[in-house]
Amino acid sequence: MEAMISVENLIVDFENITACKNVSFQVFPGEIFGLIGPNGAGKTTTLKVLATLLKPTYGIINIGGFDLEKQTIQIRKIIGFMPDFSPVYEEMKVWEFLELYASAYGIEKNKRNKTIDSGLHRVNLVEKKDAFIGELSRGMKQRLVLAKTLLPEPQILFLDEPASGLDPLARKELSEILKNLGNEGKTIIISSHILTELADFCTAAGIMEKGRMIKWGKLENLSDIPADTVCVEFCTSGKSTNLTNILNNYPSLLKFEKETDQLWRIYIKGNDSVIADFVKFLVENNVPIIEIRKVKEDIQTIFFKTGAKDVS
Amino acid sequence: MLVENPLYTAVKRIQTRPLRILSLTIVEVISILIVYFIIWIISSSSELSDSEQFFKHIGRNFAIAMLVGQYIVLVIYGTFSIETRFVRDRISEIINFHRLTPVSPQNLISGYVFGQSSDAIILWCILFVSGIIGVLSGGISFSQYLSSSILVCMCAAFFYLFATWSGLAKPLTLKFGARQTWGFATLLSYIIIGWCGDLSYLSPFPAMWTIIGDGDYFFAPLPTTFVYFFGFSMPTIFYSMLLWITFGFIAFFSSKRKIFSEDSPALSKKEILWLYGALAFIITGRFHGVYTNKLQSIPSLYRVPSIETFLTIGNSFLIFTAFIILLFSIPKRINLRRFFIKLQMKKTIAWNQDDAPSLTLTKFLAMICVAFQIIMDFLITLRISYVQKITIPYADIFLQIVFFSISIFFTIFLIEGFRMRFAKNSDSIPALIIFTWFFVIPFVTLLYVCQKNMKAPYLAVLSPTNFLMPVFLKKFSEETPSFSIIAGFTLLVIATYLSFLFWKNSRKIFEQKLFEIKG
Repeated sequence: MEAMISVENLIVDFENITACKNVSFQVFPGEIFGLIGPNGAGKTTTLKVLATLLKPTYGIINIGGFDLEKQTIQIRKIIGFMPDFSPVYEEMKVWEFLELYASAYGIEKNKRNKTIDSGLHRVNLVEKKDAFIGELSRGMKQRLVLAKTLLPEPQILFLDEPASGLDPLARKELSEILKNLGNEGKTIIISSHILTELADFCTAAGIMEKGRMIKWGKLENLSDIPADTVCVEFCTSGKSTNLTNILNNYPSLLKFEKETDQLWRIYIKGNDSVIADFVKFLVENNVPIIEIRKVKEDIQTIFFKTGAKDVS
Repeated sequence: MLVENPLYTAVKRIQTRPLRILSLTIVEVISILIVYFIIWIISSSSELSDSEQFFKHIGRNFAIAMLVGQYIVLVIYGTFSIETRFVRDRISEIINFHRLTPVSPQNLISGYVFGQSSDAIILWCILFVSGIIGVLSGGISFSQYLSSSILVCMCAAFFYLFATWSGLAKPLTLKFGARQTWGFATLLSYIIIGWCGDLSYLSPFPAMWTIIGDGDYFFAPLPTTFVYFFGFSMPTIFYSMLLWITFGFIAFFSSKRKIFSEDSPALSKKEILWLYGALAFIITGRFHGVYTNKLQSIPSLYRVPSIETFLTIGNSFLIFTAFIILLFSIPKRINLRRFFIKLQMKKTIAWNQDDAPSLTLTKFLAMICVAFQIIMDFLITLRISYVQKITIPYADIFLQIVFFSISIFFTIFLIEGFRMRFAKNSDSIPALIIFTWFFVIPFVTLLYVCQKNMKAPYLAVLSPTNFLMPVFLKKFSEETPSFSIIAGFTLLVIATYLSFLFWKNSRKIFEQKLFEIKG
């Protein structure tokens, strides 16, 4: 499959720092790519470059088949960008703000009202249509900007820390909206340093630290657990002396790790259906299990494994 | 069509909310009352015997107050408002949203300009119509009133374009980069250029002063005064329009690029070339024929400036050129970095603009240049005896500007190199170089030529590049002391050596940098 976004050797040089140092990654159509890293890792700079708002010092970047350096206008037609701190005209009403961009994106006059209404519905802001933007809470402003970003139905979305500064309720609402966008098949790059924000819906991720892309790819590829393997953790009620021998007799076993005297981690070849079979095997061998669970490596686990914490 | 321009509609909506218009009207009425009071004091006369004369007088004052009100609301407030909007939208980054829409750059500019000035335009219309009452009373002719009002609009059009450009090009990283401060700084610059040689033809203030005072001032907005241009007398209105149109177009084309991309340079090479061409044309035109016998044949009605005024005009353009060159065409470290990366990577290179550090130096250097020129202007204005003996061909002024600019360009190139060589915050070293270049050497030479009672000592005071000029101008080389020539050559040799050091050193730095990037 051809990549929707391809970044090769991106260098962004500011006066005293190099914000991006040879950053390379690819995002495929329909993927929700989480760009994660600590504050100052270069996430916002990368997104601004991709959104054609910052010219790179160096780099070969292709978005939707267009070259970023030469085909800026074409790229702007297929992307939507939402910055971390959403800028709005406080003196405008909500519908006026959306009408400005509906008109700017060339939506016909007779369809504009309908588009604005559906945009507001999408972000749950219908009741605030006639309110002045200055009166909205920060979460509402974020959602308004998201509605504005979605007006032209862009194929690709760049969302920079969309939930920063939001209260838990607003964050949950935004998370639901983003999940729906993912289900609509849009290619999304979303940056965040709040990992739980991304854990639910990202299909791929890139981890940045000190201006470098440390690791990137589909979540299952980033994980230490291969796609055809199931990882299970179980606890026993007491110290089991011959458990090693018992486990070695299990036919699909790939490897096991003894975390503590009572906690074991097992890697079994196959899919989720083998878990029941494995539990049966343990019971048959009189292993005193008190808890068993499937281990899934989410973004948070992957991020902490890389040890990324330094800024550029 | 403007009505179909989404940005215009949106910004106009904000600007013309009833409460806003009401508060603006109140401020404007108060301003006009103050202006009227000033005019009444200036023009009060005891000879107003009959009531007809009295009403004419009142009507005239009223019309003039309305004209001044038009200047205040359309030119000053409108410009301030537009520039503030651009700076504010850049700070909040909402301008990026506009950039990402398919709206063309020219439509974005017109949307911003007409939308933001819509409240000023409404008030201007009210003032224009009100002023006609004064015209009907017979105190002022309709042609006078109309031509003055047209001039207000022309002046506003130029300043709106200029405000667009400066609002888009101003760096936001400066410490005093707050929104209102910028607008105030711009307003202050309009006042300053009002008394700065030919630049005053760009400023609305002399015209306003002339309208209020009706006095003997060198610039008037009506077609009764003239400026000398290519040997002909040109009405000041046309000359002002020529300046507004020329610089307005350059500002517009530059803004178009700047509104498309935040980090594109404020002036492209092509625009700098246009600007230079326009400046050269105007300066040459203003000096053409001044030193010929035609000077005596000019009717006394025309205001013929003295040689001191011409030198001041020349200096004003030198300052202006210096500013332009300094601010926008200096070699950027980022560009040099890019050059070295390109050398290494051998692939297509993208360009960026990173002018914050250069601007810090640039401001410093520009201040020195301006201070130097102002001191020289001051000395000339004080009629230092030897200045009156000057006879120079107009081409020399143009050459001066060229050499002056080259030297600034060259100096900054060196300073940029030095900044890279020395530790951070070591501005004192380039400052020392600039000080020596701009003050010590000219001062020593000035003392020398004064002692020798030379015929052309102004060369030593106008700009530092004059040390190099004698080398290129045969005429002067015959009259110039060998000291000047030696000083010029010495500076060239030093500069060449320093640039060689800079080149060697910066290459090393960039290679290190590249190594770090490649990691």
